[in-house]
Amino acid sequence: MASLVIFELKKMLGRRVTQVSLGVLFALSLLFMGLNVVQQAAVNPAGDPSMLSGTAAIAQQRADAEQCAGPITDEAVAAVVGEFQTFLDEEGEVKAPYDDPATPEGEQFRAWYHTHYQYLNLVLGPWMQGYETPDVVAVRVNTAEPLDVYGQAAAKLAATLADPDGRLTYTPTEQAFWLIRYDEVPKPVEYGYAGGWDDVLDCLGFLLFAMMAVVLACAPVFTGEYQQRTDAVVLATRCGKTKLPWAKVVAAVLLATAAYGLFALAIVGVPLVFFGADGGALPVQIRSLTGAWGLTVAQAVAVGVGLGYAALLALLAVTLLLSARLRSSMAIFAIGIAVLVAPLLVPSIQNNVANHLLYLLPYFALDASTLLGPVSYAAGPLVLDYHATLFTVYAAAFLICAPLAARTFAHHQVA
Amino acid sequence: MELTLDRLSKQFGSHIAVDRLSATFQPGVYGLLGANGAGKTTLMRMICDVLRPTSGSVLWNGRPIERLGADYRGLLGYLPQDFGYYPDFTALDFMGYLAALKGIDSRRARRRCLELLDLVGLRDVAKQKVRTFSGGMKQRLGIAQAVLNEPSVLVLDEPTAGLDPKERVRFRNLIASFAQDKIVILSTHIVPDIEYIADQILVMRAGSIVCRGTVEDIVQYGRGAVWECAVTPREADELAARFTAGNLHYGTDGMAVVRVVAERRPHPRAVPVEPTLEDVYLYLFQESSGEGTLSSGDGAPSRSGKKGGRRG
Ligand SMILES: Nc1ncnc2c1ncn2[C@@H]1O[C@H](COP(=O)(O)OP(=O)(O)OP(=O)(O)O)[C@@H](O)[C@H]1O
Ligand SMILES: [Mg+2]
Repeated sequence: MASLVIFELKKMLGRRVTQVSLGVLFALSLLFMGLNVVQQAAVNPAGDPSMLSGTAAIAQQRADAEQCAGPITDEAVAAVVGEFQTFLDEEGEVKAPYDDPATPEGEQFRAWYHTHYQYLNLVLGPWMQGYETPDVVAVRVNTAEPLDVYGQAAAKLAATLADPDGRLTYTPTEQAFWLIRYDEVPKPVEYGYAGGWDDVLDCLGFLLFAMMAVVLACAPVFTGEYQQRTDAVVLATRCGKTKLPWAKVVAAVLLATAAYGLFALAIVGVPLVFFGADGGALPVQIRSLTGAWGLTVAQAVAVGVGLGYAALLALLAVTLLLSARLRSSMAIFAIGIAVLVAPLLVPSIQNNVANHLLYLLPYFALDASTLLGPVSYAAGPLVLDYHATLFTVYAAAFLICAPLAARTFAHHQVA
Repeated sequence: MELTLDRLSKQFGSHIAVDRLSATFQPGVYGLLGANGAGKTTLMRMICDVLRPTSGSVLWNGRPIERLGADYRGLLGYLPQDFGYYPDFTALDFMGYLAALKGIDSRRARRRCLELLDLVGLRDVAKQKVRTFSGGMKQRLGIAQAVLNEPSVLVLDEPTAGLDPKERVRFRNLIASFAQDKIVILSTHIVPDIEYIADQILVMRAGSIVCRGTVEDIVQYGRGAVWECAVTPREADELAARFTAGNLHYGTDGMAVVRVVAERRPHPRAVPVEPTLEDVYLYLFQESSGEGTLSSGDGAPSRSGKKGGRRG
């Protein structure tokens, strides 16, 4: 068996299409991850130059986050919003003399606003409706009375869950499920710098490149034998219909795992090196206070990468099944790539069922907003959260399609 | 050791490629002779368990092969007609791969692979990519892989296609040395090849075996139906149009010497001659003229029931 697996790997790695697709897609991933560092931007509170970029911007983001670090309590929010309000009039406009950038007061406001911008956005999130900016929201918040940040966040979450016009709609059981989840999130949320992990979460989508490479490399696994007319030779041997189909599946899984590992290393490693690996233990609520998942950012990255791997294996198994059934690698490439990138072409829709189905695609599984959003699948009283559903669906796809692919090849008729 | 085909049929849509074919094979070399499309390849694929028959079965020592599965395939050596190869594999890789597929343990496999590559004259290019091989070299590689596991049933579909005369001789000797106590079934439409190699010949036509026997047996079918006569070139053309004409050559006197296959004397000057296997082949497959055509139906002088042959 081991020698058959080695020969199968040799066949796959020997193909020009494997070499080129792996090489090109890996280079692209590195390029995008590099650009992601180079193109970081931050306002320079010192004023000259007014904008920072690259590693300087990253250092500024770290400084901004660290000055606001600490638990996000009602008092802390009241304090920062109160301070913000001192710069604003009743309409939320910046008042004189802070509105004139030429004055020292204008300079002072500019520095304060930009170094607090991320934090303000986060803590004012529970009061925001749609895409509002912090200054519009800040004047609405009455800091004279005690605030209830998490109560406000829970109310916002409840409103989202009850919204009949949202991208997803929720059954009463699902709504209760998520509100209980939210209740269980440790509070107050600890704020701090977790730039590396945060950036990885935003870049998880690049793992789709690994999946594309694997589809391209593994599409010919079975169909290549039909196309090259080697099927008659190999199927007529002792192990041709027993061990060989499985050796092919194992070899494909090994290749896929190695390729995914390499891509994951780049996509997780580059941000952690350039943005820093600290803050991994901070909760995902530092991205949004209404987040209902009880995960740290490092755990969220692990879940994303892990689900990406499950998605990869599922996609691989489907690719292998198509490979055993179809006579053309091109058709398989087309189907595989369509599954991966079709969501880019589908306009955002409001249909609950369609979205629940779309969200099963790797594209959404690797999008932090869906991955860490309140997504669940309900069947009567049973509610399965997004991560468990994805894992179940991907595992089922693999466990069904991989043996079916092997079986289809073993039953192939040479004619 | 007995391979039995029991009313084996294969139908592609409405076209019947192999038609209720029954035969028994015991150790020996069997030559399957038939025109293009006679169903040789289809038959061999079914024998090699890579094509499911529409009906009927292949039995090994009385047991259906689909029940024996891997055990049966373990006894098999198969050289398919125009088989493919992995362009990036070297000859040695290819042999090693097939050895692994045949379940040969890897230490023994390497020695055996080199031995066989030597035997088919590919030892010097063992480390070269198969992509760089000529057609005949690939064919020899195919022959080498077929005998890798010392099969009890060796099925070779047009093994001599693309071999030069020297390699043909080498191949015949290889098969002769190999065939002891084994069932070797090879197909060809090249008559002289089969004449030398095969103990028994099975003539296939339109999916059935129309006659079976040793070369001498088969040649009997042509006795009295092969003629030679010296005629003018114009008469030669006429004869060729009306009858199945074999070899034709021009004498120094400008007369053409024609070999004609016909039931009745085709020309007053024609004299009956000793038939060769090639004549019989032409005789059995003649389709051009109505005269002397042998139908493949029930009226055919089929001897497939008779177990003849030097070994069988
Ligand atoms: N996959 C297929 N689909 C439809 N018809 C087929 C298929 N394979 C073979 N046939 C038909 O079955 C018949 C027998 O084909 P086969 O290849 O067995 O002949 P053959 O005796 O090997 O011929 P050749 O000497 O040319 O190799 C032919 O008429 C062919 O057209
Ligand atoms: Mg053929």
